[in-house]
Amino acid sequence: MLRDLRQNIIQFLSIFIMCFVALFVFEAFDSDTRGFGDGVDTYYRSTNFLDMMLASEGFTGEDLIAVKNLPDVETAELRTAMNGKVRLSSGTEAKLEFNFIGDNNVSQMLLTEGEPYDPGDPGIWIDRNFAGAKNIRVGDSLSLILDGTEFTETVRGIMDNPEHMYFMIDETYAEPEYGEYGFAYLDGGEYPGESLTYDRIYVDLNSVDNQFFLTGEEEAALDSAKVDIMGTISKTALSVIKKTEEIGYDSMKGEMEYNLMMETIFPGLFVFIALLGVMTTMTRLVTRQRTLIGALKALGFSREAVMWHYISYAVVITLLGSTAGAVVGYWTLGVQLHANMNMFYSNPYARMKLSILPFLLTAGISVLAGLTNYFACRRLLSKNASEILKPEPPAFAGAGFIEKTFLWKKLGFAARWNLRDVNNNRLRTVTGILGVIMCSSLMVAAFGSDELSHRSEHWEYNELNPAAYTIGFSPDADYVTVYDYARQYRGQMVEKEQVEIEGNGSSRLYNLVVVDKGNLYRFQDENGNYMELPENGMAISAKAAEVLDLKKGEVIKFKFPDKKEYIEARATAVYKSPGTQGIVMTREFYEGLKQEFKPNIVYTDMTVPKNYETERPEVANVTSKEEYMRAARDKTESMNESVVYTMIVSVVIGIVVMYNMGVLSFVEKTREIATLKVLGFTTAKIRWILQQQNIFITGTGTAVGLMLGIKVLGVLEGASDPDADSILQLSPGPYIYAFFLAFVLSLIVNAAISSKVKDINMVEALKGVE
Amino acid sequence: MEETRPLIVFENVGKIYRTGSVVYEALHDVNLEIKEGELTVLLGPSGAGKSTLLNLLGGLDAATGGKIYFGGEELTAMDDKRLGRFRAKDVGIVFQFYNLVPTLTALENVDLMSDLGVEIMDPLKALEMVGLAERKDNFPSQLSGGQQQRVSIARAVAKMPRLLLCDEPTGALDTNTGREVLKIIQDQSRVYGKTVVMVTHNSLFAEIADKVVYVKNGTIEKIIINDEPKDAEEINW
Repeated sequence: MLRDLRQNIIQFLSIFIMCFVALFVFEAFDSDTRGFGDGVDTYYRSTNFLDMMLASEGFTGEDLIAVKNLPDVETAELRTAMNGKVRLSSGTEAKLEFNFIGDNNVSQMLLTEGEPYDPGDPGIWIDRNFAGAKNIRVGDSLSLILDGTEFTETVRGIMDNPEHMYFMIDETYAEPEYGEYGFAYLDGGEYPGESLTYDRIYVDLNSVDNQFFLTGEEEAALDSAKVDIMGTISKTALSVIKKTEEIGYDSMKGEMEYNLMMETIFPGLFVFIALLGVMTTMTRLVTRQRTLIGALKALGFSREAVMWHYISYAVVITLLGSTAGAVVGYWTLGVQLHANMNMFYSNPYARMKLSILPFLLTAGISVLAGLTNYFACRRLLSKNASEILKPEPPAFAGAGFIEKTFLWKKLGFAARWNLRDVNNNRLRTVTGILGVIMCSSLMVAAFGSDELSHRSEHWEYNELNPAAYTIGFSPDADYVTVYDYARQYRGQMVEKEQVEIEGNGSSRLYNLVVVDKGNLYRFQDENGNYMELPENGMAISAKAAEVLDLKKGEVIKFKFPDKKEYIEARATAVYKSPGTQGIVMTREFYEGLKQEFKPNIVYTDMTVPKNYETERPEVANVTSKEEYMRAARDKTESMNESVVYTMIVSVVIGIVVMYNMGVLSFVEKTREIATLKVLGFTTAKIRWILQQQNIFITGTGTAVGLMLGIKVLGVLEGASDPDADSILQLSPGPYIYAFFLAFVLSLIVNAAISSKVKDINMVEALKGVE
Repeated sequence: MEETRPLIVFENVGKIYRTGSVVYEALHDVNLEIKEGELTVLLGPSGAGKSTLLNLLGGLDAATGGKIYFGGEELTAMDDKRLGRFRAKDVGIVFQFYNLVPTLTALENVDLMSDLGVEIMDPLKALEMVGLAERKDNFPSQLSGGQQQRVSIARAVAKMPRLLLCDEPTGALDTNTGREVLKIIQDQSRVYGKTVVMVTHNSLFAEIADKVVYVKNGTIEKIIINDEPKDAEEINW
């Protein structure tokens, strides 16, 4: 067996590598996904993460009692959160989110140092990441600024909190940056202002036991509780958010779904290629060894013994490749992915996890390989010894229908030879083409993803929202205040709200954007051309329309989360946006729907002082275009890593498949090549003949791969961020790079293989029949 | 009989094979002359060195000592490129196991040489010459061993080479088919005036040759000139 493995080292190595890569990718994503999934579940369980959150402008004790009295409610508590600052010992200031609480039985603090919180306790509890980054310790006295008031608090504890697992303090950050800003918990009595208004109620339901992996009944219980709550609490601007809609939960679910796709599709393709490799390699191996097999059978070895011997080749190789891939995948890419996740999700329970799945998958691949091997070899192996020992002439056929066409007569020897060779070795050819398709489509996806991410940044901040600054206003700011700012900064007023849009079969929270007159908030259609918002209707984003199964021309129902009544309007246009999904309309149309225009953002090209954030209570944030772009670039950088991984994987596939198939083809043609040499064909001419077949296979594979690449890119882009969209049109660049890389790779691989033509010993090669 | 000049000359030719530390001397100090138009049979037991002689003559292998001349040109001094041209233009080779290109039909196998720019006779005529015109569109796998060997001969003679080399051409064939093949080979010398060198271990074939070279242990044991060679049809084995 070892000798056979050595003699067919390239073929077995390629099967090994494909299984290796399959389990490498699978285990890397699986260890991270399962680990994080379990980690989130544990985190949510140990802190009794909220099941429902009610948000409004102000809740009273009566509201809390009303909620607590609902039959499904286990407990509920009041909270409020507001942004302020902490003055650090270095003299610098950092943003801090202040959470004022009364009880802490829902979404509890997870204390890592210091004393636990009891209602009425003085002092402040600071988040672990921020405390670590800013060197804050238990017992420190912190100078704090909130609502224009300075006050001091003593640090009583360092903690984590599950609702801040995915935490961005404001919209200047596209992704969380732990340690750069922080969050803190204080008793409601510590509020430095005149009176504290609670703007949230956290609810724990008695019928929802699981925390992260919810059952269907639990999801239904959340929906029913939401209806009950909305029927009980009659507040203006009430929104009821289920735990499944909470940002940390939702984005973690999204990450897990993306990882699940990555650990399913790619390994699936690699395993498929590996199985094709098993089929081609083992069929040829047993055919070459038919005399040996016949002799073994003649000597008395049973059919089963011989069968098991050959089946064990595929089983052993796939077992070794899969196991090695799983181990290396866990410790390299898995560790890297886990580190990346830790950058975005703060979860003290997050660990990598070795689940049973890689073991099952390894066993499954080996069984499949064994079965493939069995079906590939059983025809020969099940014959009796005398039949096997009788040499079987190769069954060569023509090139099919093309031989009947006028074209055939015009073809030269090389073309005819190659076409017939391709037709006679269809499995080998198909495997080769599939490998090139995978290689080139992944290359297009990788280069395309890079181009789209760079284009999205330009698209969003240069084409759609080119304003130099945005001023975000607090919910208390009235129209006149915002209007004054718009006038002073010659800006455009925009209202951005969350609304629940009813689709055909489902509903989802999306953005409602209402724009006043101006040219700083623009829109483009699905082809990337600028468009005016319709006067007689609204526009829906292409992504939202796709997710909700809505079409242009339909009357769409939407409502604010805190209202019961639906608003209806016809979507008369579709717009495309990289990040803002939902519905948009002009102020005039919105007011025509009997809605009050309440702008909360001003877009301006003038410079706005940053200190408005702290000095003017009506201003929530002032953000420059550069800050937005920096955040976008941070996100792009993390995407670049996946581009590099995709590139590496595609090149590995390309080389392995092309080299494997090339060597297989070359070994089978050695005798023919030697014959051509004997007849006087030069080495260069023979190499060119071989290269022509390679160009045909690579050309076919690349052509299909380039077309498929854009689809692969669409799937990857759609899965990576459900709220992101892009115009799936690439410049010629990614296609050209992918084409040349796949082609050059193929030419190099073939040149390396065909260089052996020179070394073929004509006398040796033509010695015997077998 | 008019004295013809030698087409092929072997001068003190030797061939040593080395595999790791094992050294095997296949030919030792071989001197031989073959005249134009002659049918020469190289006869000897397995391992005697006759196929090695043929391979050196066809430019398939390189001698490790001595010189080989063909038509006055030194083959042993030629590089790979010139040897390739020599094989393409001047030599036709027929093997024991035919070595046809399996993905080409009988006619295409014969026509193969035209791809090299070598002037060849009408490939169909070459097939007619070996009695296989009606099987021109068959692939090798659709032909019997004897038919494949005849296609192989047609391919070898279609380019009208000065030298036809045959290595055990009947080795894989039954008696009747072998006799037919022998006849075609003999005709190449008798009818078409080609120089033919044939390797065989069957001593009966010596009777159809103009010259019989006995090879033993890598040396030429003796050379016999046959004044009245038999017709191939007269041979029985």
